[in-house]
Amino acid sequence: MLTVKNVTKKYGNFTALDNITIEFGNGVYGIVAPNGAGKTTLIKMLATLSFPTSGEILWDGTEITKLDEKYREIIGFLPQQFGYYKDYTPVKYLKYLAALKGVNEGVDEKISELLKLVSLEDVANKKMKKFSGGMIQRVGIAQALLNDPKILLLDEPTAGLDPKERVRFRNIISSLSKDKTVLLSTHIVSDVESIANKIVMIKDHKILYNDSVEDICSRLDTEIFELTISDAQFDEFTEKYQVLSHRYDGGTIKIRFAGEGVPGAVPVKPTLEDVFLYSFRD
Amino acid sequence: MNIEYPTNEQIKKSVENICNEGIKKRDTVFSFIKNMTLNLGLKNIFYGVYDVMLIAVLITGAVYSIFYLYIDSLPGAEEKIYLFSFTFAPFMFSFLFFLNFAKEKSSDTFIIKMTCKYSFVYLLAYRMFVFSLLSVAANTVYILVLFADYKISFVTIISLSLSSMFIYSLLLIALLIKFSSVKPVIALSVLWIAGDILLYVYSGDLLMGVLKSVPLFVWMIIVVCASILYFNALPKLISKRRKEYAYS
Repeated sequence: MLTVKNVTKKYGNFTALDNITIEFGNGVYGIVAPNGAGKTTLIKMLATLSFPTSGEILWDGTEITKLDEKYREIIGFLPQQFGYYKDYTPVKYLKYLAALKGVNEGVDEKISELLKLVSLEDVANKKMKKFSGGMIQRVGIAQALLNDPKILLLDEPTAGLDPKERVRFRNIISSLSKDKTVLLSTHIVSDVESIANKIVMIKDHKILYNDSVEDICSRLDTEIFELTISDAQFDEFTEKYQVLSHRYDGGTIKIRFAGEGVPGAVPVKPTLEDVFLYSFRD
Repeated sequence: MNIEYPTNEQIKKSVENICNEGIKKRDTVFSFIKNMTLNLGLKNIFYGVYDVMLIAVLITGAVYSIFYLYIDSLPGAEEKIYLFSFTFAPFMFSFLFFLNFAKEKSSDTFIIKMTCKYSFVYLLAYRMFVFSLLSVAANTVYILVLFADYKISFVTIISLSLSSMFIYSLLLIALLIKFSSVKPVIALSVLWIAGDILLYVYSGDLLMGVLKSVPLFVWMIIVVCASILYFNALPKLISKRRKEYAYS
């Protein structure tokens, strides 16, 4: 069990995270918040790249800083900007990282298996300077899995990926989560909505929600509506009500909003995106 | 009620297991170097830094060559050799360290390397071991060249050179361990080099007087003690809790 206990992180006078406590068991956890809310700060602390100003982070009851290399042996980390050597092929780079991760046995088989998992077996020996962003990200996922980690930390892994790559990524993560703790930080709600066992939402540097998707969405039950209005009514409507999203449909606009007492509005089941937009409204 | 108590043998074994799990074995520098070499290999340990190592060697070679070319034009050439050997001894080590550090820190792969079992700190400690040996070798070769051309005491000059190098290296690693940051190390290096150059240029006689006043056997003791302390401190870079990954 990975436990974050009363952790605060400050940078000078700025508080990035304020007294947060969470427990992570096996499964996929989506850490959802807008940019600058503290997601990457949390992920970096869990990856031992940064340390709490106060509080502690424990793995099976022991502080991760005390575990030192023993903890790093069981984590796999994919940073927001995954660095690589342009003149290296995926095989060569993964072999190098396998050595740094202390993986000595069955390296070739492991790399072959991982490249197959991320659908890069056909370009295994091609230099990465010719790879697209999505392909590089997939090499990043492969390297995070080299040491068969118990904890997988993925920081904004789908940023910059096209929809097809994002679906592929979701499928990979879903297949891994049974015996691992997978933490996925993102501001793209749809990337975690269908695969996360639990969502951790951070607002104002504190935990807002730490619950399943269904339970978080149920908090806005009977509060989300859909209505079709004309283009001319749109501006006036947005001034009165909390519009979460809108879509042009022929000559009209279909809006989703939070509120009630609007004639013709149809109540709808809230989605995680609705909760996100509602919670982080200006 | 029948409670089964462990036997003395079982208690002893449990205590041993607890102690073995709880007490982390401290690596000696030799076991550290051996384990890293066997587990990682030199190729992986030095990947990506051969170019900066070459730059450091070339710059040091240039500085030493310039001095060599102009020795005869300096008044009191032999004394200047003693001074130069002391003040510039840490030069190559310093260059190797900072160029290596700057290159790794600015590399896109730095963050990934910091989360590996053998993180950047492990690589740094190993490289510093090799850098110090390279610097000792380079300084020794240079002194041998000077010894062939000038009437100087090889033993005295090598003692001065190694003392300076290991005192600097020891201070560098002590600051790294204490502060987990490279800023104090930069400050040390600037002060050391600037101080040496200023003393060399403006108070060379004073510095020479100080160096001469210390008996040779004292310099030798300093070399032995500083080098032992320095090499034994290298594994401590890894065992000390890092404050921030950035080594900012």
